[in-house]
Amino acid sequence: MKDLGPAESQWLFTDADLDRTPSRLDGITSEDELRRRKKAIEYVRSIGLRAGLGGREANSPSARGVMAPAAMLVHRFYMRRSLKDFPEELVAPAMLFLASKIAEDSLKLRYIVNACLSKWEPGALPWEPDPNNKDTYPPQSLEYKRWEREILIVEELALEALCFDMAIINHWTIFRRAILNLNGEAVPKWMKVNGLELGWGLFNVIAQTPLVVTTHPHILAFGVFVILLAAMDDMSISSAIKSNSEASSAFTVDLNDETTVEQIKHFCARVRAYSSMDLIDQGLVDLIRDE
Amino acid sequence: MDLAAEENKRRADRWIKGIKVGEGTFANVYKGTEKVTGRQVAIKKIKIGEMKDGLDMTALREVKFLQELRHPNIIELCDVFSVKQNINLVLEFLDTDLEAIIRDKDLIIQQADVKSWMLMTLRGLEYLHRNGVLHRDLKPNNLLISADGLTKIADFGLAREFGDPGQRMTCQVITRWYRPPELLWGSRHYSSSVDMWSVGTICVELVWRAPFLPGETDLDQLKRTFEMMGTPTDDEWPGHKELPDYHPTAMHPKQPWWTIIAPLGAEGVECVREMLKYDPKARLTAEQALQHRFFSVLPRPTAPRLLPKPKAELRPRALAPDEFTGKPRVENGNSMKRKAESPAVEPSDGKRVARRLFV
Repeated sequence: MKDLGPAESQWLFTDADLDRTPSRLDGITSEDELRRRKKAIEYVRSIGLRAGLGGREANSPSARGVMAPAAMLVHRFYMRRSLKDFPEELVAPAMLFLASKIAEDSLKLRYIVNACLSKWEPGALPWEPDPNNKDTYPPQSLEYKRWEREILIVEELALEALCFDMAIINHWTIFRRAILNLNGEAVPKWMKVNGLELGWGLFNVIAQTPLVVTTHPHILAFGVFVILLAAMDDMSISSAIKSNSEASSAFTVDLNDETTVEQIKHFCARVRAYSSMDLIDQGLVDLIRDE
Repeated sequence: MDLAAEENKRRADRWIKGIKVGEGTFANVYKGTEKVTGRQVAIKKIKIGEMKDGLDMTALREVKFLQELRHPNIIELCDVFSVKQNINLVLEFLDTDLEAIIRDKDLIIQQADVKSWMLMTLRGLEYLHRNGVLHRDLKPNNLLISADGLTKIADFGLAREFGDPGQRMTCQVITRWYRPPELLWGSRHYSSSVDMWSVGTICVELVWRAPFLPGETDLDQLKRTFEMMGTPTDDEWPGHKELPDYHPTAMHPKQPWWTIIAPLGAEGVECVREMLKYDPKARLTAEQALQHRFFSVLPRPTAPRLLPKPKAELRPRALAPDEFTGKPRVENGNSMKRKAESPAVEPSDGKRVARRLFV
């Protein structure tokens, strides 16, 4: 498994750290915090699509390339800042904006602000200047100005909270490359054909949980692969791990290492736990069978 | 004070800001020193609070890549901190750059010197490419020289990671004179070979003491390239006619342009010609170039500290004009007070969740 760089490894937290976040210290319950983080990530997605991310196509590669790091930024941000000070309605557009720049697919701030207006300020006028007519730009509504200003301020404060760490290992990229590099004989055929689509669905769900900041990116990517196998071929997590030791090298995960195997199992168990507390799709409980 | 703010202040206090050495619309560069060691640094202050689009892409890329990259031939990012609405990048202080050396007519450049600069540049570049990063703006002005003569690749404002063959990238990169023909013809799927073309043109410039292909427009750039090196044929560059902005050009015959770099010797000429192959796939990679005979035959590369250097006190390095100008200023005046900071994360085991960055 690839060692994480210094900047990356400081963003890997323990489960216990989740009980000591700024929001918790502000008296927000664990469950509340997790639900509100999840909501922030759902907002990232809906604002992103309204703002034209990936041509408004949620499943386009470029939309995926932005949404995955944006979710990661949301979780990192709330490990350092409280929901009490930074509501999810503002953090979502700011992290979307920042993630789109990090992914080299930058969204125009104007589109993001207009998307927020149409979502949260019914009746407020969006700002739609005619780029060919710079002299007659229409005036910006008060709401527009306020949202623009606040998103920029949150972006700036977030940069500091995020320690300017902008080289983000993208779990989704690791998963995607591993699937594309899989040796056809080592895995069932459906995995080569549909693995990416099925995987993306599961990723979307998992990115809503803090697992993205408590799990090593390679473990997470391989964990998703294992859950898919267990679900599709109806077997337990342990046998799914065992039956696919060959594929593990595509994820640069070493199954001879007992700690690694424990980490994979722990990851699957957490997915199951988040699912049974209804933070994420409850259907996952049935897919992740115990031994 | 919150933990991150505290840590940030501790970082800011590590450095003393000195005189301004460069100025742009949205960034200033200062000379500075590290309090404890007295080490000289350059502090690049980026005023994000004044930018219409928040954090600027060039600044973001610089932080993103330099935080992860560590190599003797790449400029070191020593620290990042923020003060009010500014991001401060603390960079290794470097005296001069390759452009100043090329332009200083009092300096004599010999084959062994060129070899040494090329070797250091290629080592830095091979490290970059090995780590999946394209520089996309190599030029003499971005190859800085340290007090002990080491060449350091700087300015990562246009860098990006590559790796996904299918991904589209912009072709509006690399300063025109150092830009390869595939970009001039609008290629969106390119690779590390674009940087190698730049290295090739820089090497010619070191010998010739003038830019090799100083095009005045993008069109003129292609014209000059082909006048000098001949119009590409299907044989030497299969598929070039399928590039998005391909247009037929006048047929210029091949001619032995490499006589201008004859002082590099037969191996040097061969090495440069292989970096300047029209077909990006046929170009030497940085790794292959390092293995080229040019670097093992005599004369040996000059030791870095013995390389020629301008004698005059160094002028401040100007910021690239396209880097921080012409971007709209924010209209609404970001003067709103900062929100209350969240309390520190204070785990019971005493291990605080603080940032370390790179200690």
